[in-house]
Amino acid sequence: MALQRDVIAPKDPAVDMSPNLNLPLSPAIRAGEFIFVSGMVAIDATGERMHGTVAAETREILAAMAQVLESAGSSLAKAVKVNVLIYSMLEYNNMNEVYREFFPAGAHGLRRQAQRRQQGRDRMRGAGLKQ
Amino acid sequence: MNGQLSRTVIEPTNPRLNVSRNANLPHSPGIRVGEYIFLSGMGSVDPVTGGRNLGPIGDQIRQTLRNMAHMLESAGSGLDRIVKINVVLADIQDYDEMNRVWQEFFPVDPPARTTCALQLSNGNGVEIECIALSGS
Repeated sequence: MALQRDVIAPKDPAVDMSPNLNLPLSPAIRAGEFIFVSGMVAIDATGERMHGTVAAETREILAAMAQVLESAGSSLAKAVKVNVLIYSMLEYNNMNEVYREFFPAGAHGLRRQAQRRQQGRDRMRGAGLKQ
Repeated sequence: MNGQLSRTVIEPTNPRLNVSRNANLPHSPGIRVGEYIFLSGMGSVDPVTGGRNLGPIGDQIRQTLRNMAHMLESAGSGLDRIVKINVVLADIQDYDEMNRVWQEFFPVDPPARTTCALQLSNGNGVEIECIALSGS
């Protein structure tokens, strides 16, 4: 019996980038006991791109990521791996300060940073375990 | 439970598309672990000659996704079983073109995706990797 593959629809449609920005991707897919979340950039309550400081964008992204995971019956506390793309490593500490608010000491998943050219300033993706 | 998940190497049915073997690279085309399939990053390779197929970026993306379909089908899976896909573009200006091609291959319930741009080897305009479920 093959495992089921389900698209996760966020409860708050504003955090769903795919229709708002007309992108051909799903916000997240559940596959068995794992949830795979698309790369996320900061978007505001209206669904528009939000450009701010790295700290502000990080906060926006992680709040939205929490919503996506909660819509799937999971949560940030169950994240097992998070990848962070940041436009400049000079912003590393600014990102980390906010990151710690969402992942208190001892509870954080593995994370990788890379400095890359990209469209958004900050882009994160996570995989969380289902309940 | 009787212990560990099995780990097996996945190879394409078409040997021309077995890039890691043909180019003597130290990675597997794909690995299956339990019900999950992890494919290596793939570029645009001609399935007839096995050589690089570098043309307009839209065609490179199409060829790469066709090769990815072949790889997954060789393992009894398929594009519609992909759950997460990571795209690396050599030039972020190609982002919109990628999205246009994407709709040809993933018209409904597309995979979760992350895209970024960075320097690629061998003149490739794109490299794509994925995680898929086995079965159909």
